[in-house]
Parts: sequence; C-alpha cells; structure tokens
Amino acid sequence: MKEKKNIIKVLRPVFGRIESAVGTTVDRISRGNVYGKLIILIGFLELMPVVITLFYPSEIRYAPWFVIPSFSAIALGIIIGMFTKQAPERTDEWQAPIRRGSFPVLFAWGFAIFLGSIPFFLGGIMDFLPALFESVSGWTTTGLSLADVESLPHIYLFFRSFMQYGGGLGFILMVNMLIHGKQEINLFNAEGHPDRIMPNLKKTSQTIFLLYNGFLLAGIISYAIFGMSFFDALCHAMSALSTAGFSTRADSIGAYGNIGIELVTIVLMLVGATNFAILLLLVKGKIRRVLGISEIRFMLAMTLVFSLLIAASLVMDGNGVGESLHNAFFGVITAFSTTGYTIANYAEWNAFAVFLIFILMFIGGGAGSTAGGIKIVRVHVLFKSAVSGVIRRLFPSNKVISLSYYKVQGKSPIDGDLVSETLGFFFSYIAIFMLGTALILLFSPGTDVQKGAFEFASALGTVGISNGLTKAANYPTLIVEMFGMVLGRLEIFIVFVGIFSAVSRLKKFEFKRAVKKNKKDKKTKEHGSL
Amino acid sequence: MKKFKNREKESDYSIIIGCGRLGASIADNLSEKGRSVMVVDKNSEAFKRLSFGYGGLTFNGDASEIYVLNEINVEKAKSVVVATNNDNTNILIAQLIKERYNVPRVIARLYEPEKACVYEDADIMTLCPAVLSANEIKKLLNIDTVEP
Repeated sequence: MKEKKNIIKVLRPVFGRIESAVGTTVDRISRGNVYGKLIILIGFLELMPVVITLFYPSEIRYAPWFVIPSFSAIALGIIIGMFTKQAPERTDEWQAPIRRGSFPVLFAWGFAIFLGSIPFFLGGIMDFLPALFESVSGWTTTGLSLADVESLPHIYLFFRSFMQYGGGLGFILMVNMLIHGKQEINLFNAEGHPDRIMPNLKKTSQTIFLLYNGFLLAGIISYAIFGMSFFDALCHAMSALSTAGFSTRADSIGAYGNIGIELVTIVLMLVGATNFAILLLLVKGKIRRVLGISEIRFMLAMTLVFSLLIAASLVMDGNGVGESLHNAFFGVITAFSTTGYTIANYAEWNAFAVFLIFILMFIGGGAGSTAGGIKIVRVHVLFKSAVSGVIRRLFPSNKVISLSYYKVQGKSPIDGDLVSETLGFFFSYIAIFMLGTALILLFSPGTDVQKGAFEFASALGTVGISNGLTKAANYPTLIVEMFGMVLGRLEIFIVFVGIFSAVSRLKKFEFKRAVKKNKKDKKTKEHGSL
Repeated sequence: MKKFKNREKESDYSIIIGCGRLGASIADNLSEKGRSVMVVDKNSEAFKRLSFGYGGLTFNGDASEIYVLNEINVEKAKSVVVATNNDNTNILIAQLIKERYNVPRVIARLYEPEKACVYEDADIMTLCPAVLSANEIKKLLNIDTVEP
C-alpha cells in the first residue's frame, strides 16, 4: 500500500508536467497558423482507416502505409503550429476578404489530395498518378475510379469512402467545429458553405456535423436492415450521403438487385443533395416551410419531369413500363445529386435519355450541400430572370416587375447583382467545360465528342458516372479530369483567386528580396569606395 | 488543459437591433469572443458594416414588427441591444421586447437624454452617447464635478 502511494507521489508531478506540456502545445497550436491546424486535421483523417484492421486483422500489413504519412503530417502540423503565429490583422492594406481566405482553402485541399494518394502508391496498389486521381476523386466526392474494386483490400475500400465522407463535409468546417478563431471564420465562406444555421459559427459547424453523422447512422442501419453486410453498409452510406459514389462492388448499387437498398440509396442521395440549412428545418419538422423553398420545388419538379421523359423514351425502346420508371427515377436522382451510383448500364440507353442525364449533371444539387454542378439555385435564378426578360417585352416599359425567390431565411429579391454574379459563374462553368472537353479530345485520340463531353461533365460536376473512358484513359486525360474535379468541388472562383493570390504573394516576396539585395549592394559599394 | 476548461462558456444568445456603426461593432466583438449573435436591420445594405470574420446570423427585417421578433426567437435571448438611429423606434422596440418577451437584459441607445425618463420604471438600461461624451470631456477638462 505504502509503496503504491509513494509511486503515485513520485508520478504526480511527472503527470502534471506532461499535462501542462500538452496543454501549452495545444494552446500554442490553436494560436498558431491555420496551416498547422489543417495539416494536423488531415493527418488524423488519414489515420482513421487503421481502425478497420481491428475487424480484418490480416490487413494489418497495409496499416504502415497509412500510419507513416499520417504521423509525419501530424508532426509537421505540430511544428508549424508551434513556431508560427496567426497573421496579424492588417488595417493598412486593402485586400478582398475572399482573397485572404482562398489560399488556405486551396492549400488544405491540395495537401489532402497529396496525402490521400500516398497509401495507394506506397501500398503498391497503383502508380503515383492513378493514385493521385483516386485521391482527387475521393476528396472531391466525385466517384470516378481507376481501382479494381473487387480485389481491393477492405482498408482501402474504407479509405476511399471515408475520403468522400470527409470531402463532403469540408476541412474548414471540421477545423471550425473544434476551434473558434477569427481567422478560421474567414475561410468558412471560401470553402462554399453559404448558410449560417446557428448564431455562432462553431455551433453551425457542430450542428452540420451532427446532422451529417445522424443521417450516416440512419443510413447504415437501414442498409443493414435490407441485408447489406455491415462493412458494405458503412462504405455505401458514407459515399451516398456525400453524393460521391464509390462502391465496394464493380456493378455499384445494381450488384445487389434489391429494391430496398436502392430506395435507401435514393433517400441518402437526396439528403446529400439538399442544403444543410433546409435539412435542419426538416429535422425540426417544419415541412410546410421546406416545401415553400424555391430550391426544393425546383428539385421535385425537375425529378418528376425528367424521370417521366426518360422513362417514356425507355419504354419506346421496348422496355417494360415498371422497369423503365424504376431505372429512370434512380438515374435522374443519381445524376442531379451528382452521386454517380448506377443500377443500369447507361451506355445501353438511347441518346435522348443519355442527353437528359447529361443536362442533370450540369444542373447539380443544392447550394451548400455536398453535391456539385452549377447548383439548382443558380439555375432557378437564371430561369426566372430569363422569363422576366420575355415578360418585360410583352408589357409597357414602365411595368414594375419584381423578382424574388424563397430561401431558407425567407423571401429574397433577385436583383441585378445576384443575376450578374450567377451569370458569371454560369459562363465560367460552361467555358471550363468546353476547354476540358477540348483537351480530353486532344489527348485521347479516337474518342467521339459525346463520350468526351459526358466524361468531363461528369468530372466537373463531381458526379462520377462513367462511360468507360476514364478506366482506359492515358495520363494527360486523367490530369485534365483531376483539374475538372477540383474546380467543380471548390466552385471555380476560389481556385483562380487562390492561385492569383499565391502568385501575387510570391511576387511581393521576390520584390522584397530584390529591394533587400539592392540595399546590400549599395552598402558594399559604399564600403568599397571608402 | 486551460483550453478545455475555457470551452464551457455560458451559452448566451444576444440580439442586436440596428446594424449601424454601434450595432455592427458590438456584434463583431461578441462574435469574435465566440458568443451567439444575431443582428437585425431593415436595410440589407447595413450588414456590409459587419467585418468579414463575423460568424453570427443576420436577419433582414423591421424589428418593430411582432412577426419579425417571433422569427428571430427574441424570447430565447439573454440580452438585447437596441441601437437603431431613431430614439422613438428604440423606445418602442425596447418596451415591446421587455413587456411581451421578458428578456432579462435590454439595453437601448438614446440620442436625446431627456427621453430617458420614458425608461425609468421599465427596467431597461439606457445609454446616451451625448451624456457619455460630456462626462469624458469633463474629465479631460478637469472640471470639478462636485457642485456646492
């Protein structure tokens, strides 16, 4: 007894010291540079797949390929956090806030993509560039894949789906959930989370996180009820909720041939394609208000019209009515939610149906959700302003037309600023789509326009429905698609602004160095003359 | 370890009505400290005064309307600051919030010190910029404030 007490007495100060050391480290990191925090977070995310080896002990040999990069990232993050300070707030210099925020966002995504590719590469699963492609496709919640899913170890299958789950939430959101700092808030808007749900950003992030995890749990349980194995249920629920579309089967959801599983997938995809703020309203039970929101109405109408049109065209091809409706409905939801799960082979569909799917991939899901594409809200705004353009010409010029649409927060006017911003985005999206398609057609000879355009639209919208082009693509084509996916996930402008701000920062740095050098030269000259 | 203890802050929800220079700077300060804040203004342009790092909510509407007050859950707020640019509006909103929703702490800004009497028995705190600056200037001028 006495000995025990003695030991405790001796150890107490040691523990105390360790505790205070950890405390000061955490404190210093949280006061440090945002880059450090982001790197640590991404390192921890990379560590998660190791948990899976508890259930599949034979795969422990793959664990080092996750642990090594993860630990090095965490160590790097701690070092950066310890030895940097938060950038001081500058009042002397004018800079658009978005410009300040975009570079760290771009950095976080770039770093995650790089780190995510390492396990595939080190584990000998694929070469570096395909590994990078897989990682991009994972984090951006696209779902285009080069991996041979049926032979991939479980730890990798989990990692692929987990990347999509994390990518759906976004890194800045996860950092904001843990830390409250002014600097982090700046980044929040830049990552593409337009809505504030709670009167406090930390609570907003935590609420979104809780909602997302709640739906994940519900998804896993419902999949399990319909007879999926636990591992498959986990992976599919993560991928469906982030509207991503990595599967553990080569035939995707179609491999199960189970209507229950398909229904669960449809619900999860719809949840993923819906704005988080709307989901919160839905959870609170304010269904009336949810149904009044323009975005939701547009989404429901679009689903109905496109499903019926596609089903009709499939029936004309000689398929059964029930089967056609079923396939068309699933196809429509998987396309506009930008998920990319399939239950039928779209390559066998007629050109009309494929083209409708193509349009849906362009439109995409809800703003502030995990879906990609142009986003329903933007299409809705453009549609309304186009209609008003016609109305304006029908009536005397002094007729007052006021346009508005319903957001989560209530009625909101469609003014010139909104329309011009939306048009700007729309144009950039189309321009990038054309450029990307042109590059794909250039790099992979023998591809026809339809195939190339479809595949790049799929990458840019972070959809992941493939017509087989990606699997057989050469490296330049893959690089083009990777750029498409990143641009699609981060909503284009942020990427360009981030690159621009990085370049201008570099220029400033060079300029300062040149000035210093000049001064030094002058001094030495003066010395020399003396 | 200090870090973790600090986290358990009292969760209090503040509402700022009027996003002028005063309202916006209060909202920014509260938000920076990690508090829950909501700013209400009837002109959506006013929210441009908030800093980019503002992490709270904004609501575009006239706070003298009951439906607006219901919408922003005034009854859940621990404190409300009424800082519109009109004294009479401030009086109306502050009384409405105090009487109807029983918010524990209501602070109103008044330009005209004479109107402070309206608030006397309503349990509403008032601040008057003119009086405050007069006091400060008195201090600067070293006037003996004690009258015989």
